[in-house]
Amino acid sequence: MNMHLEKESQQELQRMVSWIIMFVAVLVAVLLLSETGQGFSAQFAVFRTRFLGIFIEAVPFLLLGAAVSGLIGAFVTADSLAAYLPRNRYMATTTGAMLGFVFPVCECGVVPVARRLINKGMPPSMAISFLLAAPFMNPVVFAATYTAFGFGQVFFLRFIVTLIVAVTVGLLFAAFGRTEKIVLPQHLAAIRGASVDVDHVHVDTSHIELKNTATIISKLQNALHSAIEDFFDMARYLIIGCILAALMQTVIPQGALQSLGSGNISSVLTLQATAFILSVCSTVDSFLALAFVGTFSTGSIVAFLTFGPMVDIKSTMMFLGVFPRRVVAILIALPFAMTFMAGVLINLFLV
Amino acid sequence: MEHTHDHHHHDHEHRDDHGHDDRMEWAKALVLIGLSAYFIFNLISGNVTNYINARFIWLSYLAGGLFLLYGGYMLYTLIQARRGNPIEHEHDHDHDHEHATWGILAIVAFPIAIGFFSTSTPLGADAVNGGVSLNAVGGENGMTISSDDPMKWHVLDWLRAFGQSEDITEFEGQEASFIGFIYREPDYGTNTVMVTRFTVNCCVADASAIGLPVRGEMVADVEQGLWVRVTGAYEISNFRGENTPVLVPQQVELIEMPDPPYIYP
Repeated sequence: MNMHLEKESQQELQRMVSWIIMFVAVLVAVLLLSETGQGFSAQFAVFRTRFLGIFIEAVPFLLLGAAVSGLIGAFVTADSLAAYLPRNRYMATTTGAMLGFVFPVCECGVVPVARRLINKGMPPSMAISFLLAAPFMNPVVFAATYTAFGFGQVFFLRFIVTLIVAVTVGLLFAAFGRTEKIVLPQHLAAIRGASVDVDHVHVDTSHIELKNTATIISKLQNALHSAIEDFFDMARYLIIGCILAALMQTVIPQGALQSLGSGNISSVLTLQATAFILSVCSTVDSFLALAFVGTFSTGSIVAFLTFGPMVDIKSTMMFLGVFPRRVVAILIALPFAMTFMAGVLINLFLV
Repeated sequence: MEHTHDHHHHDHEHRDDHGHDDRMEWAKALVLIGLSAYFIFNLISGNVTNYINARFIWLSYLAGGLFLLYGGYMLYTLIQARRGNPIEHEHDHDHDHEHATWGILAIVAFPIAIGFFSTSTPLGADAVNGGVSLNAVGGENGMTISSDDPMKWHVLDWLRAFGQSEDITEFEGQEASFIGFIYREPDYGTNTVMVTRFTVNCCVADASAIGLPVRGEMVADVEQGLWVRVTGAYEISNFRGENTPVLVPQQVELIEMPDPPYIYP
């Protein structure tokens, strides 16, 4: 137990240090802003408006995601979930990719829900397919994409590329990743259930007694309680992500990006970078993409609409709360490489 | 604080420091209430349109309400506990939350600090990053122009009309009247400014600056960033190496910043 505690406090320390480094980096960036000629206070006002804009738009979705996660926690038992999980890994990852129709969440809300599903015993590979696909594969974003582009080429390509990337990444994790290595240890209680110590077994018994007598009211109270905990777990990642996204937007000249719009390869890379930096919510990124139609290639727009919902600055920050850094790196690199290839292939062969 | 001793089966490692834990819980409740207050303040003051497209305002009502629910519920449980009848929460043993630290709490409180304790300003001339675009942007309604009467067209309507035109010279002599803020760069040429607006699809993260060139002595001395209504007629002339409609103003009027400050495409 002491070893366990010691390890935990060590991790806590490491985490603290990395936060401090991050804050210093942000401070340096803020100071650099003041060097760009327009004066610090003017640039700070711009940063402030951008930060609050992204935060105000994104945080309602995190609150909803936390609420959904809390409700799953209170009303779905690990056993009942297990009954519905497909045994076959191909079926599992494909189902995972489609699960957004059951839990309609965008990329700000998907992380707490995915974490909760892993806790309830969903294989991490399936949860990863869900994590990557759900921000697009849900009724709300379907409607938004339809409004912006109609049932045309862009809509279908967005669907197909999202499905392929989410399922492939999920399958790769299923084939090569061991569960304990995919998810941070504190989220693995359900899976390591067999090896819990005596204390936990005792608590688990009282658990079962509680469950039998639990009324709807007390279940809702539990849901609310864990929604609040989930919110505090995830909000800091969202906020740091919003700070970084707002800083990048204020510092990086957008004109420099836009001159790269027509090349088959450069346009795809440019819009992928734009999607990552802007961190716009997947419910509205279609409308943003409309602004690029005409100047940017179709492949690059599809890459923007598929890569952006899977990975951006704020979701990367939130991934760090659930997965070890190595896995986060893979979760960025694979979707990046695959949507890049898809974009270039679309440019070369389809359009 | 004594209540925690009543049920030992809920004691786990991170509950050792009861006093500390309790203070932290109160602080978390206050942060949630503070965030709720910030969203409600934004809605009442109308500042919310400085940040997001008006059609997403319902999201802010939702956030204000949920924060109030979460914070209110936390306060309720804390008060109940203080009165000696704590509400039991099924402790999620298959889901250990990292316990909050003051650092984490400070990060979550950051939006309250930055939101409440400095004046809310919409994006303006200082926020133009990478120049003002002459290209029309698409939006929810595609490339639709907002009105049949050209005298009512805003900057985006004009850019869409130019974009759809086969022959740009048809706008020679066309009268127009529109608003925007003054933006100029050295290579615009003498007495030339862009009368600029930001378009916002979702929130200011996707804001893009669009504008129309205006040339004449009347705008020469107007300070960067001030809001104006310009009225005049277009002439087709050279602007940054291209032949494009440039407005020659007959009247330039300083105006208040419009509300909302952005165009929703």
